[in-house]
Amino acid sequence: MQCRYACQSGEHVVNRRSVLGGMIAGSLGLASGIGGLLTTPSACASQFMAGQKRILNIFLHGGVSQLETWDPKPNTNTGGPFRAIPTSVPGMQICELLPHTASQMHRLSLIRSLNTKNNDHGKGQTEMTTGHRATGADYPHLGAVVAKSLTPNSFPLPGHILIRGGGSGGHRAAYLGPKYASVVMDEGKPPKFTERPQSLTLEADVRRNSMRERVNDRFAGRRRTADTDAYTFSFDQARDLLTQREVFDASKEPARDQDRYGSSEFGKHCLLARRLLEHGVPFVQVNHSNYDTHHENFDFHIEQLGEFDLPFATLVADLAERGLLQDTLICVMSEFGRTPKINSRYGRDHWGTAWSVLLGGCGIQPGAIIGKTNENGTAVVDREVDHGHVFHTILRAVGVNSSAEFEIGGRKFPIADPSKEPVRELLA
Amino acid sequence: MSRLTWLPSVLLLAAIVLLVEQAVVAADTQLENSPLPESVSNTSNIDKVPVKAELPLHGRIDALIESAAIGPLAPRTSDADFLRRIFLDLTGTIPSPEQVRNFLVDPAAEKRTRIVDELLTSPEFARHMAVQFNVLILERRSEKNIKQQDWERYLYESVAASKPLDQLFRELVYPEPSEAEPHPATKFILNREAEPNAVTREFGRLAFGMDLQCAQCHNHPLIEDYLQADYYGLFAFLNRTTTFTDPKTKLVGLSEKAEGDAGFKSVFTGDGRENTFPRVPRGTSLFVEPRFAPGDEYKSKPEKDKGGVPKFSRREALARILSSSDQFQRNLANRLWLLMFGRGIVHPVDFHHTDNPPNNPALLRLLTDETKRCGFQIRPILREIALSRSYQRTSDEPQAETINFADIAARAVELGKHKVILATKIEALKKSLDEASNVFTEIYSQHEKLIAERSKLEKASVEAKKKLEPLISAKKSAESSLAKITDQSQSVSEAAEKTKAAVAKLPDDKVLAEAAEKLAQRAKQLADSVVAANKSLSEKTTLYDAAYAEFSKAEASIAAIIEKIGPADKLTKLELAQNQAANELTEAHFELSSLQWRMDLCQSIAEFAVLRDSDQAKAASTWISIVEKWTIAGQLAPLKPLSSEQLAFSVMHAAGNLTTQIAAVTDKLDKSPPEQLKNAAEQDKLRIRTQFIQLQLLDALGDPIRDFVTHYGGMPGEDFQATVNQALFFGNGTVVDSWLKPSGSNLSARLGKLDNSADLVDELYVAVLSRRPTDVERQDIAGILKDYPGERPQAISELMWAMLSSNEFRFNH
Repeated sequence: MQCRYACQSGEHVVNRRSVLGGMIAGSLGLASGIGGLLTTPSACASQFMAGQKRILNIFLHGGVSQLETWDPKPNTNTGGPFRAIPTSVPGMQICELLPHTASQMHRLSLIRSLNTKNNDHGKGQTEMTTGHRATGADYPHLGAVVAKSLTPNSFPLPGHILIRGGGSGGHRAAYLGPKYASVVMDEGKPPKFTERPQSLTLEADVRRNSMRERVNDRFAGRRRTADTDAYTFSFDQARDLLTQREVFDASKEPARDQDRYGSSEFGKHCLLARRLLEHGVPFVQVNHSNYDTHHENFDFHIEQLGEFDLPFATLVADLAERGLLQDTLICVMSEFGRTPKINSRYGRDHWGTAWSVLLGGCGIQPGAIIGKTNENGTAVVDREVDHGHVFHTILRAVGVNSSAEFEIGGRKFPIADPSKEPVRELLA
Repeated sequence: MSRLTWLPSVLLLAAIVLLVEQAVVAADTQLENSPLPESVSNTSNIDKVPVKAELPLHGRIDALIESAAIGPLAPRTSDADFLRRIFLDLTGTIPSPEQVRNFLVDPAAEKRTRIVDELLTSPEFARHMAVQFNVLILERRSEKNIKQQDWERYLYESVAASKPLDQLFRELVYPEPSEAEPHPATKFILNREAEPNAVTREFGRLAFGMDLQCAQCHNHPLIEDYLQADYYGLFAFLNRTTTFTDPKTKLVGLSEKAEGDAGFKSVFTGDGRENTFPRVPRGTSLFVEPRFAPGDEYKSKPEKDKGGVPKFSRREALARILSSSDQFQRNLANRLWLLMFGRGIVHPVDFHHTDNPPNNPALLRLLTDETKRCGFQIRPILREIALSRSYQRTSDEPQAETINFADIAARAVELGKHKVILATKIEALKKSLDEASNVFTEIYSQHEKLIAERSKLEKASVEAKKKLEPLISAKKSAESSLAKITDQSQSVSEAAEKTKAAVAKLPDDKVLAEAAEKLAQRAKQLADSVVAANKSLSEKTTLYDAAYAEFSKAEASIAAIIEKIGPADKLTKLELAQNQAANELTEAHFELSSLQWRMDLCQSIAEFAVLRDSDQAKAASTWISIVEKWTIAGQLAPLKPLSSEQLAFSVMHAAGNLTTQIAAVTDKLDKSPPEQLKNAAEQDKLRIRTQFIQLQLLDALGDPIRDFVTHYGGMPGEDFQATVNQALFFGNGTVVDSWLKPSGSNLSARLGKLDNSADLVDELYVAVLSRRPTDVERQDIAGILKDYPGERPQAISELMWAMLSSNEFRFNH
């Protein structure tokens, strides 16, 4: 019988060994000096980049209409006033409100057969981003799962970034722990605490940290563990991150690019997302608000998608041209779609019964259409899937075994809903 | 926190101290006077060192740890380290500078015992435990249904009033239903939206230390003894629980149905059961339950806007049997150990099973028995743990030179001999379990069949009753229509007779003759109707009689089968025998695992001896694992990372801001006391005031505590996580920064007033690291201050930050 006293999680082992390494030997008098061991080279993020997978998730808040985007039904009783236009994929048509995106569809794919059986904003958001049905249980956000699975050791930047216009709270990491909760860039501003307080000069910060290290060195003479090293290391990481603060500043991007992405908030956030992805951040989510169009659905979609279309298409094209798309999965999701029935206020209401998401890039077949709704979009008629399948698919596409389990503090947690599977035909 | 702020509560405390001391003394005397329970001496430990019965519990804890130890036992830790450790563990924060100084100069030999007793009865202990229970029970979920303040007060009051732990758990799973206002403990179930699967998982984890989640859909793939039947046994107690919403207050409350069984099917094998009897893990099943006639199952029926209370509540049944469950007791003992050692004897604490054995099985057995014997009181057990040598060891790493390699080699040989004996014992125990299991299973399946038959008959009876009901009313209406017609017929035929007589007297009266004719006709008609009604009644009666006979027959068969099922005593006895056999086997397995673990440790130490001279890198990593194992075995004190709350409180306390906050809260309370305090009886005032201070302090510090929780997170017993966000928060955030600035009499202000750098260094170390500086440290800081390029306050803030962000501060050592 085997005793499993020590935590065997891969992450833990790597951290312990790499950091502890010769250090304990130091306290035994077996190795000389402890100074150099704990400092990582002022690591440039790009050194982590080769082959490293990333995810860009664009969340259209409020529930985007599938009929005004990915699954148009022109000339039907539910279709609304807009036309469907051809895309760069022969035979694939999307709504005319997305002309720029249409030119990028050969790099992207659509799932048109979501039935998530839910019409509630909160639950929809939870279910689409955790891949689990919202019950009393607390599941980590996709970003936390990805950060946990894909962040390289000693990566100096946060692994899970949320860019949004405003709001409060962040993406929860649940049992994965605070390390993987979202770092938020409200209105695209740098994350909290990445700027020294005004009263603290760089010199003062260096002084107090060297004092801290002296206190630590003395304590290490008494006891040194993987935990003490991890704690010491977190301050080194913070120092490294501060030296890379400019990663969070999209104004450092060339003026020409800033023009291309435009002056809208969403445009700026897309450029920022490109910058973060280029620096190897494993998960970036950009929120775009608000699509909850119970009134005047068509006017609102002209406005919102008008803001969405060009920056999104520009970002897809840029990632492709820079060779990043093969390692970056793009997803455009929402909490649900909108009713085919147009209400008396020219609005569409909440609708989880038959709607679409967009996936593309890393690990995804380009130019594919999965599933089908009926003629006027009131029901899924082929290849019905839900949030659970999408969640599996996203993770598989970036090389995460979604059927595996996380082992956290000796407890096992399935990475994705074990009763669901990826949409295999969509995987490249 | 400081001695001064405790003063007003001294009287009340004295009372509590007395109470607790009595409990402790009672427990002690009980321990001393009663003979050693057999289980302890039997399973004592691998080396069969006799444990002396007259030893107090802490002595027996030490005897078990020390006799099982492999290699050096770390010496007693310094007074300063002990004081910091016990403050953090029992009150959730570091001591104040006065407390450190007083303790260090106190020459009394029993000062450690005294401080343990003092802290256990302090209001800070109740607050700290309330915080810990909150995290444990709610797992940092967001506020729902019951207000957080009411919940915290409930937890605080529970600890302050020495509510036994088993009672707390009973209340969690079965809060007394109340029409007036919801019991605060309903929060446990309501926060999981009363979803039976979520509650099953959480209660299994909390109460039994068994996270059965994976066994929901199939037998646990990795843990042999977590069966789907275990999951559904617990589930069966909980799946009748629902919620209702009060239409006026919009508050959600708990409700329970009187029916609902727990069937399951494996998603892998398709095997399953239609119905699982309620059973706690490793316990006996509720084979027979009180039964009530259909329609008579409720004390108060569940309605849309009102909670139901069944006459027999399965949740209440769970609450009733809880404290007699051995697995429950083991779990509580293990959790109490976790509070003091940062790690359970079984660890992870939520996974009690064969392949996750207790490191020291005899120790867990001892602690389990004593926890039960102390009536599930927290304080006496924590006290004994705190007084043990094992708790009071240093956390400093031992020197490799202290290892006696020859000794350890000899131990390995000895352990190997025991292993052989144990292996034989295990084979025998496996056989007995198989036998007990077979006998039980056979009778069990008979019982299961009878139960299935009973529910079939019950269904038939309900059907029969359904058929019977319309026939009863049909018969009744036939009876009443017969009565009516008979009455009419009588009246008319009497009238006809009388008219006929009148015609005879007045033969020429034509009108009268016609009337007589009509009456005669009508009388005949009615007589026919009477015949018809009679016939109809007799038909209905026949139908009714047949249906009634069927119903009676169904009822009789139910009665017969219930008779046949009986009280299921034999079945329970057999299940108990099976469980006992399983327990004995498990205990033997545990003993073997613990033995093997120690043999492995001997092996590692032997390898280290060789590697030391040949391969330094490998020697270093071997050494790490050896030291880790010594810590697990209690030979060396652990480094325990401070929880989010401990860290927040300790940083504030070190910086001198906690004292200010307590003063502010107290001041506000005394200036405008709430009604409850004003109206309290004189003898309760002090207690209630203290409680208000502690709870309002939690409230007042809500924001910084939440900030720390957001960044440091963490659950008790979870793996340590150090993140870059934490370091950024600590280094650049305004929360910590604001505490470093001089204000009132906080540390920064106090240090600013000290011109003598020796005094400054001393105050800094005592306030932040709860110890006096060494000479080297004095010189070091004096040097820094002398050469400091800027203003003194800036230097002070840098020094404070460096100390607060150090490993020595971050860990409880």
